[in-house]
Amino acid sequence: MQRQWWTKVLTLFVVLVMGAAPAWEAGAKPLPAVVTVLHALPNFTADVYVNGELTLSGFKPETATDPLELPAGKYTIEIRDVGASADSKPALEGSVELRAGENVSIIAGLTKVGDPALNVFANDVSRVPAGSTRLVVRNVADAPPFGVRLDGKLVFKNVPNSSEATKQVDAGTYAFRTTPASGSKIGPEELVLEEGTAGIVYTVGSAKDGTLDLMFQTIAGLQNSPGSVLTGDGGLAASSGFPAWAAGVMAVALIGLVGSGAAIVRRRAVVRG
Amino acid sequence: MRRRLPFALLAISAIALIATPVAVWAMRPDVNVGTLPPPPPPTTASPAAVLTSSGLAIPDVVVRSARLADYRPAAKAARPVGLAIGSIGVRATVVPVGVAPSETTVEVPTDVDTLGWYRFGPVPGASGSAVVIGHVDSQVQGPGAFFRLHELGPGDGVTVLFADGSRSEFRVVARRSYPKSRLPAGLFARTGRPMLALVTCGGAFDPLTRSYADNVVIYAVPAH
Repeated sequence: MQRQWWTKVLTLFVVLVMGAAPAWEAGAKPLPAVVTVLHALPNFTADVYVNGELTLSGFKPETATDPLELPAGKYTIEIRDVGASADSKPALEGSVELRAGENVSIIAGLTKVGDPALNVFANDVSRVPAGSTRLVVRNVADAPPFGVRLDGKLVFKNVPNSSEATKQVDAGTYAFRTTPASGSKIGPEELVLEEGTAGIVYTVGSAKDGTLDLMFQTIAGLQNSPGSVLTGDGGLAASSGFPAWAAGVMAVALIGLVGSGAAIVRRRAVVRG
Repeated sequence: MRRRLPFALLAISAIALIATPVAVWAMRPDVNVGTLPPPPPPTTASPAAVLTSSGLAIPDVVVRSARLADYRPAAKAARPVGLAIGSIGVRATVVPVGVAPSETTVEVPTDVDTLGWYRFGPVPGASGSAVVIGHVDSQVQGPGAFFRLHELGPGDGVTVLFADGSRSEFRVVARRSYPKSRLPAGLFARTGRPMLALVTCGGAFDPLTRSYADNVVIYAVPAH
């Protein structure tokens, strides 16, 4: 009997807490998701439908939208040839589930066998240490896996199609090129990686068609402040902890205190004696 | 009468012993003077999409070329090359500095008479906080360019000379002292109202670690 009583209380507690939690969360303003849409289908001008509505018309290859804030939720994306009727079969379709507060890049690119594909990459927008940049390389090209060199130095050994590689590097200007497993390579091309940003390089196009190229997206505002500024080891400008005159006054006062105290004690001793 | 003398001396000594440190504390020079402008309001976001009864409405999506070959980072204005503060006799060369390797501290010029401009932040006069650092002193080289920086207060003038030959006048609005490990994040702000922050060391000196406890920061705004 006693056991049941405890179980009931516990159940009630769990129900109350679990019931209250979503209500409490709902009180906060929902964070939107930040979405950047990039077009990497060679020789294809697109009409983009989001949830059945024409949202972007005449979207050209190797262009991108500015970051868009969208409410969290599920979106269906259909891509049609520019001017094709809204009920025609899309050239490419897919859906994406956007969570509140996340930052994603959606890129229409090619698979390793050259078919169009919608890739969704989550962007790491955590801060980077002062002086550095987050380099991200994403492969949506119809090409064999490749490595990446910055100023001749190998930074990524192998980036297969529809995957990404990330590394924190010093901010600066680099010569970017891919090192192909076979045949075609891309670059060298100048890559400016600004401090406190994420610099995202997309390898796009098709090796077969000779349309290989590099696309670029940057996310700013990820900088960290330097921790400290150390500009002195001489000690010449040290703020004097305690002025000399005050120390002098206190020394004299201490002598006076001890002296007068001793005099009083001695006199009492004399009086008693 | 003579009997009272030791008691009077005792009282005076006791009062002096207590009152002196209190007076020293009360008379200490004010390290923080002037007022800082309020922090910038949060940056306005990109056009937000809204869900309407008919679906998703995205107002005027901006589309631009995303070819790496077309990418041009926002051009920075001419960098600062010199700085002069008449009231404390500073006339110094300014060089760009970054972050010290393997550390999170700002790179500091070796020469104590040379000032460093934090090159990852804005240039003086642009939006945000432009940081110029300088030695207060060095054990080997003696007093540095910013030895008397702590004497600056509201109203003092600062002149910045740029690589393109132009110059800008700034007016000091505040002086602040921070423990070294607690520099405010806003000191390196990239956005907001233009501010020039002159940074050096100050406060108590630890002879064992040969370092100062604080950073003294002079904040100045463009003088118009």
